[in-house]
Amino acid sequence: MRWGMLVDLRKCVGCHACTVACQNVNGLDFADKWTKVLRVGPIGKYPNLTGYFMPVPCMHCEDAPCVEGCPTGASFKRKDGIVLVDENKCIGCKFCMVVCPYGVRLYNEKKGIVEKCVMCHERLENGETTRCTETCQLKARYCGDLDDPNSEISILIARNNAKPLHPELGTEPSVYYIIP
Amino acid sequence: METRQEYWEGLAAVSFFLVATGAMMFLVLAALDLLGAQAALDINGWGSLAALVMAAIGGLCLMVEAGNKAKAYLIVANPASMASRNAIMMTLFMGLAFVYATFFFAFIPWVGWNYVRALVAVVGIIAALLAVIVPALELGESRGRGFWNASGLIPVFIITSLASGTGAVLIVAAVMGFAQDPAIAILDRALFVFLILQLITVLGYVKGMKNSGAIEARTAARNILEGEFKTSFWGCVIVAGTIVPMVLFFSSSPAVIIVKSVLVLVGGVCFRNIFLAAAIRKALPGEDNEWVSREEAAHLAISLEKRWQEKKEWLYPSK
Repeated sequence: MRWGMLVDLRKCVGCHACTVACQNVNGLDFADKWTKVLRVGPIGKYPNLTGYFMPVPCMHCEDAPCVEGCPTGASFKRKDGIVLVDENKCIGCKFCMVVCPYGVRLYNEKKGIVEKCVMCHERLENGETTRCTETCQLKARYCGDLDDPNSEISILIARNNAKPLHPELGTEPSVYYIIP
Repeated sequence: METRQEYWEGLAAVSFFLVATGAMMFLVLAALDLLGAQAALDINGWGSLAALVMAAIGGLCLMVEAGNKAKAYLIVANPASMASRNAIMMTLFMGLAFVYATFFFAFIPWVGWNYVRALVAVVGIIAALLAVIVPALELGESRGRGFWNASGLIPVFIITSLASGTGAVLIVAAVMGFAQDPAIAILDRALFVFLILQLITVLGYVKGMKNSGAIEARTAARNILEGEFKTSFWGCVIVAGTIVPMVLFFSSSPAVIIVKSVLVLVGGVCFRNIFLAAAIRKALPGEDNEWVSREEAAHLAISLEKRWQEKKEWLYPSK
């Protein structure tokens, strides 16, 4: 079992609903985003221009540099592939933020610890899907088991030749993208 | 897109500098002792304590940088991580520096145990070297920051730390009145050699990164050589921290020794600050188009809150 996500960038319109839903369910401040939405483009030469939007949550890497680098063991990877931060162990040294190649970790000034997307693990344990997947009006997000070749997410990844971000870094992210 | 690495700056750079300088200061002192220099017997006690204090202040700087200071002791809890190993090496080195220093104070019973002192010096030298090398490996763990290449950073860190450690020893010797001692004169010449090596390795590293295959490493090197960091790099690290002390080599008065050593230390701090701040992360697609920055969003939130409070006051005036 390895939880993963797939974002179909052909469908995403950059409405930021996933960002807001995530902020809502996790009680985050207005400026704190565990899922940021980047605007890519315009790409190409006029008049043949294109562009798309790219939501970027924590990649829950299989070979996570944050887990490897955390001096206290606060950042850890569960058996189901979800990378979490143990609030009781985090000392807020920010080394995980330095080593994360995706810039998806945030420092919580009030708590003095580092936080990030938790892939709504409690919801997943209760048989629900992640809040960002649920809220996406255009059904651009999918969440499922990457280890199961018959799961919807695995089939879509294979069929659309979906790719993770910066695969050359060897982090083996669990978030894939169907790029237009 | 990042324009600078902003998670570890200022205090982290000072911490890296102080620990590395303290460690190499100890290494130089212990080497003088092992080589049988007479001056070592006079300056190594206080010198080792000064090295210990520098490293301890460096450790404290890291603690201040941490958000949850009460649990800072947990930093050694995961020895598999380089950051944890760095803290362990730092602690080990400080312990050995303290034990070594005790061999030079007459009221300590084991003052005459020269073999034990030599053993502590050798183990301390190894720990000091590791305390300088491990931070380079730690930075090298950042896969998305191509500017930090551990295999290249190790010699650069060793050379720059040797230069600043030797400078610190010269300051201690000059303050204690041993500036004209033959061993200190040799050390002064060694500093000249270390500064030449520093010039070659630091410039070589940055110039090498300018031709690197990773775009973020090339951008970082360009920012250092001709961008945001050019004034502090050329002004502080190269001219004030390396070339001017080399020119001052030709005078051996205690005042000049202190001035040039202080310049080497200033160059050392600037070097670490620049090397930490310049290492930008590999950009994500579209990251340079991010609509609002974190600061802008926070500013907008404050403005909205203020406006809501004004509306509330208008709708429900307080009595």
